[in-house]
This record gives sequence, structure tokens and C-alpha cells, in this order.
Amino acid sequence: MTALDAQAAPPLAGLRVLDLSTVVAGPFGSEILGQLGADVIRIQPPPADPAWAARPRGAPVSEAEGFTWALQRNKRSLCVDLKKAEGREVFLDLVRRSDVVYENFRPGVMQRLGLDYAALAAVNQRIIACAISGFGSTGPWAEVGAYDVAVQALGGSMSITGTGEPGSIPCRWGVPVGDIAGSMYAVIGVLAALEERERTGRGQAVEVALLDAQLALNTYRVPQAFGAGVKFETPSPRQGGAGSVPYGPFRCGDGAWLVIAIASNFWKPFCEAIGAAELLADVRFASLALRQQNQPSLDVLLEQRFLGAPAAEWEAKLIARGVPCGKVNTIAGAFAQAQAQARGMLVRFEEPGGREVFAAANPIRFMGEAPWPQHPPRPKGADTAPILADLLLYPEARIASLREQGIVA
Amino acid sequence: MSTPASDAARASAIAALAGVAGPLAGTLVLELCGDEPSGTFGTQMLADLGATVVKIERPPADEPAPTAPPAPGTPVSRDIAYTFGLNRNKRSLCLDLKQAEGRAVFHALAAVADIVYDNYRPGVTARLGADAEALRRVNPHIICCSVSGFGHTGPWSQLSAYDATVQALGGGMSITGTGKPEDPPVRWGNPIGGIGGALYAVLGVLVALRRRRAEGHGSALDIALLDAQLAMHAYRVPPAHGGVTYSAQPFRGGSGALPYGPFRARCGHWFVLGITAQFWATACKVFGRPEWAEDPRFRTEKDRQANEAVLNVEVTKAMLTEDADEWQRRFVAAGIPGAKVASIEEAFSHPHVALRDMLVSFDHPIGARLKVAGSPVKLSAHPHAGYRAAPGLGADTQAILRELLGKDADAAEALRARRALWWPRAGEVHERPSVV
Repeated sequence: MTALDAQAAPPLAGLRVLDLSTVVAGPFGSEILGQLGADVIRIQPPPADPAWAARPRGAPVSEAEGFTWALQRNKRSLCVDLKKAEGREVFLDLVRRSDVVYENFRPGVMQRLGLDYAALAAVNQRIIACAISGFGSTGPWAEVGAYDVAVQALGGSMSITGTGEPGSIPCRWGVPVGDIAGSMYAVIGVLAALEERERTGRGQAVEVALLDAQLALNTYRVPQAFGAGVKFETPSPRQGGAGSVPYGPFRCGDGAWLVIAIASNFWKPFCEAIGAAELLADVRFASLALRQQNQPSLDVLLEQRFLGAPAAEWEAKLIARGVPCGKVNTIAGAFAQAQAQARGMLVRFEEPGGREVFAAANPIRFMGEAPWPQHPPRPKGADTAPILADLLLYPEARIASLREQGIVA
Repeated sequence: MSTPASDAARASAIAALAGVAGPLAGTLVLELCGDEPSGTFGTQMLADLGATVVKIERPPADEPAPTAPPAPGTPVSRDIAYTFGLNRNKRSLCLDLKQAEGRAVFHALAAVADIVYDNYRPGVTARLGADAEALRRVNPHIICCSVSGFGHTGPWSQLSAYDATVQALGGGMSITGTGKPEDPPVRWGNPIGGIGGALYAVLGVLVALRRRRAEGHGSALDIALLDAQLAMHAYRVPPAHGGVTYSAQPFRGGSGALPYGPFRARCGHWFVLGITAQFWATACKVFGRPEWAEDPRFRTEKDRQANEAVLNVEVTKAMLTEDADEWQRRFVAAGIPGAKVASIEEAFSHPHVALRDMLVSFDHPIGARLKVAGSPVKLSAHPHAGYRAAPGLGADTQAILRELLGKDADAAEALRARRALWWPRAGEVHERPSVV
């Protein structure tokens, strides 16, 4: 047993989160809290799931299961009907014993349920109520549902994502950053509000709109657009933001792509690593300004060169010389690369039936501390009974009666 | 030794230097970062939440000429605008960490700070005496957050990372693009490599603050940009490791919905559709083609997938009959996801931007008026009350020495004379252009 195995409590131990969120834009964030040790209780309407069928080793993981395994692990599951008065009583009892209520309903839904921030604070003034929505709770678009693609389009980033060829279609990032960024900001807001609660003793409402999150990710482009008069288009795929050349994706001999980003200080080791030392003596490429000026000839020379070997081979040669580059990895390939393996970025779960399921690990690492244990997702309602009995101290007869009436499951 | 009274005085001095009021009031963050968003964007989020963020910057080599205000009506430079986008609500202190006297000032600040956030390559802070081990000696409760391309462990830990290479290595580029086999993979236009790392770093810092309160000890965070890219794949990871492959799908939604993606409107603007099954019948009416709802080629999502090419041809024709703004109006009225592909400037003209303080403007000391994005974290206890402009180079050096360290003016001048410290002369503003 090494020092690393001496496991301290996870950093968010003792924090209780009631998670009403669905799909991606909420659960991505609440799952981060769960990974770090918070007691996240996922709350859904009845009925409960039957126990999940055992699946043998090698059985496929469907895309629907992917959502559950990625976004609903490290949570407990409770079924309660919030549309019934008795169900809301159960929920408010939970609020009395919790720190955070986290939801991504359309604006107005919590109010209609009688569970808006004022109602929650009335039973627990320390509660932090976090609401995520597409466009926020007020204004002409408050009721409009948000999809990742629409948020990426409205937020401006699609207009700067594409091949750089005139007339090519705007592209969205394949990762649903519209949803993900919103839920990350929400969790940041929740944690900041918890800090303030330590000083004031009071909770507060945190609200994040997915559109706002996208707008914020434009960072430095905003004052550049509104102060420096810059008009942004899809960037040249073969030039870095600061004008670096050579740059961007090059196709290699195996059909895979390699992305290079050769700032001036790497020009010499780059040429040597790809066996093209003659380029160093070529007057057309002797400075960054010249490489920019003669970029078409340089790109053609490099295109031919890179076709001579597979992407992995080029990557190895360049990395050996410390030259930044990267293969365009598939998702599985990205996790298989040596650096990702060394960082333990893949977590393996084994289900009772023997099936292995893999998911991404938490990228929040504390030096010298081992990652905290991760827990598989739970079938819907699997934790209802212990939560009502052990956390809310409901007598058995009350639990049975709530079950009979279909209030909990 | 500090006394409780002086601690309280210092705590209020720290809070008084914050750019805005917020939940992190009284938290002192020392920023040791280059220009890249992996650092400056993270500390800016902390500053927006009310922390006092001090940029530690290298003194200039000699006495440079101050930044001349641009002639009225001329825009500021793109490079200076860059700095503004990532440094509002912060303070700037010029300090030479390579000189013993500069380092002593840094350690004195670290002794009263809560967080030191760097985005240098692993090993660099150790050479400057600013790594977690050295800082723990002056402050056992310090939280060190180090953001790097590949993290402090593993075979690539010493390798430089650029946004484009991180996006490639992380797998995001393999699912982004036009979907045509001859076209190259595309990176996201915003530098999500750095931004993703910064978001996780801020989460890590806040978690470490909470743990410090509970358990009394600081921590050292090791955030890798590559790890952040991997984690954001989320729900695609389990199926990908069961053999499912993913590629760029510009005309399909994640779960196979269509029509989906960008179509050109009559005005030439692109308009993005996101028609999942529940919206199809209504969408047909919005397109002006109600008969499609019953067309055997398009009736169900399965039908539409089987006839994707002809569907996209038909939808392309329909979308060319109106301007993007009109489509926007009709889709919003019908409650169906659909959106005009906005330029960055257009994006900030959305009616909700003003309502939600998402475009914040202020006067810059060099005479221009600049605008930055607001914070998307809206807190009921802290209504928006304006931002502080990004500080000029070394603008807060004297105030920080005086307010936080109690150094007198003569001692500070002596350090300035030896270039251990620096600040601009009265009335001067020094802007540093970005080198990114």
C-alpha cells in the first residue's frame, strides 16, 4: 500500500444536491459534483425501473446507456411525484436536509410546482437553487427550448468554425459545447454561492442560460469585434491565430490526419524531425514572414512529405523532438494514447453480469492524491427506500402508504 | 507575526481591491499566466465572482514609452483588445521573479493569498520558487492550481500544447467538419482546448477552497488541457469503447434527428435546423409544406433517415424561400429549435443580451470604449453593477505593496530602481499587446 492509497474523504463529502435535471445540459454538471464526492440525489417521477438485466461480458453499450453511464453515475436515484402535494412535501423535507437544488426545467416550471427559490428558501434559507435554461427566465425567448445546435449557432461560434473555404458550411463543434459549457458554469456558480454561504449563512439563486455561456466563450473576440473592428470568419485552416505557418491538418499516408502548429521556435526541429532539413536552407521559408508569403509552396511540399508515412509515425518523430503536434484521434483513440492512459483518464466499471463499461475519468486532479472511487449509475428509484428511511427518518408505515398512493416509487 | 486585528485589516484591504462584488469577496488569487485562455480566462472567471485577482507580470526592460491614446474615432488594436477580453476585473503587479527581492515580495503575497494559478509548463514554477512545495513553506493553506497541456505526469508532460493540437489529440476534431470525406477535419473556432482546461481549473479551485474550510489544508491541482477535452466527450465514451464510431455529422443531430444542421436562407445567411421527431409535423407547416408530415418518404424519423438525401434537397429548396430573420421569427413562434448562424457581433444583438447584461462596456484609460462579454453566472445576491477595466501593466503595484504588505513608498522606490518591481509613472498607461 502506497501513500497514494491512503484515501482521504472526497473533497465534496457532506454536500447534498437534489438533482432534477435531465438530458445533457444539467446532468453533465451534477455528475461532476458526484465525482467529487457530493451526495447527488437524482429525482425523477415514478414509476421506478425494474432491476437492470444482467449483461454478459462483451455485450454492447448502447448510445442510450452511454448517457446514463456518463452523466448519471455517482448519483443516488429517488422517484417522487412532484405534481402531487404529498410528493412536494417529501421534496421539501429533502430540501431541509440539502445544500443545493439543481434543475434545468423550462423557466416557470418550478414556480408552477410551488418550488421556486422563494418556496425553497422558506423551508431552508441556506439552500442554493440553481436553474439552467436555454435563454434565462425572463425576456421574449424565455420559453424557447434550446438545442445544442441552435445555441452554437446563436452564440456566434458556428460562424467561425468551418473549413475556411469560401462558401463552405458553418460547422458546429461535435462535442455539445452549448450544453456542456452551460452546466459547467452552473456548477461554478453553485460552488461560489456555497463559499459565500460560509460567510453569510444564506443561500441564493444561481441562474445560467446556455446562450449566455456560449457568448462568454467568445472571450477575446468580443472586444476585438466591439472595439477593434475585427470581422471574424471561419479561420484559415492552415494558419494559426498568430499567423503561424505551417499549421493545421495534413493528411498522412494511412489516410489519417496530423495537426501541426509550428511556431517559429519549432521550425528547425520540425524540419529535422520530418527529414526535410533542406527546407531550412530554402530562402523561401527562412522567416515566418517568408513562410506566410510562400505558404502555398510550403503546404504542397509538406502535403507530399506527410503522405509518405502514417500519422502515428510522424507524431512519434515530432514528439521525440518536442515539436507540438497531434493526430486527429477518434474518441476511442484519444483515450488509448499513451498520455491519456498515463493520466488514468478512462474508468472501468464491471457490472454484476460481467459486462465492462468504460467512462471518462474526472480531469480535476489533486497532486499526490489518488482519484476517488467512482460509482455506477443506479436504476431509477433504486435508492428511494433508504433515502426516505435513513435521511428523512420516515416510519415504515408512511413509506408504504406513499408507495401505495404512487407518490414515491 | 500578524495579529487578528491586522488580519482583519488585510482581509478588508484584499476585498477592497476586487474588481466587482461577488461571492468570492476577500479571496486573493495570484495569477502567474501567459496570455493564453487556459490561464487568463480561468482567473477572469474568479475575478468576475468577486475574487481579488492580481496578475503577476514581468517588469519591462527599461522605461518604455506609455501607450498613446488612439486618435478619436480610431479603433484600439486587435492585440490590446485581446488583453481586454481576458483580464477585466483584475489588478496588475510587475515583479521580477528571477530576482531574490522580487521573489521575496511574491512570497510575502503568497503568505496572505488563497490561490496561486499558473499555466506554465510543468517545472517552470519550481525554477521561479513558485511551485506548490515552495509556496506551502510560506503558506501551508495555499491552493496551487497548475494548468498545462498534458499535466504534470505521464510521458508528454513536458510537451508544449497549442489549441489546435489539443483539439486534434482530444478527439473533438474527428467529429467536427463538413462530413465530406475529401474535406479536412475542423477545429472549433473558439480555443476550447484552453477554455475547457480553464473551466475545470476554476471548478477545481472552488472545490479546493471548500475542502480547505472543512479539513484545514491546501492542495495542488494538476489540470491538463488534454484531460479536459477527453472528459467533455461524456456520453460518447462508453459506446466508443464498445466499438461505436463517431464522425462529423453536420446534417444530423446526436440521436439521428433530421432535418438538422445549416441550410441557406434566401438572404444568403445560414439557418440551423434542429428538428427532432416531436417537432416534425409542426416544422412541416413552418416550412410551408404541411403535406410532408404525411409523405411516406418523410413521415417518421426512420423514413427521413432512409430518404435523407432527398429530404435535404427539399428542405434546402424550402429554406431558400425566406430570409433568415423571418425563419427565426417563425420558428420561435412555433416553439421549434432553429437558429440563425450569427456572427460574433450579431450574436450580441440577441434581445436577451441587454436584458441579461451579457455585453458590458466601459471606458478604457487610453481613451477608447470597449465591450466585453458578461458573466453567464447570474447570482441573486449580486446584481450586475459594472466591470472594472483591465489594468494597464503594473498599474496596481504600488497599491498592492502598500495595502497588502504595508511597504512604505521609499522601500518600494528602491525596489523599482533595481527593477525587482515596476509601475508606470503617474498618469501613464502601459498596454501590453498579446503575443498569442
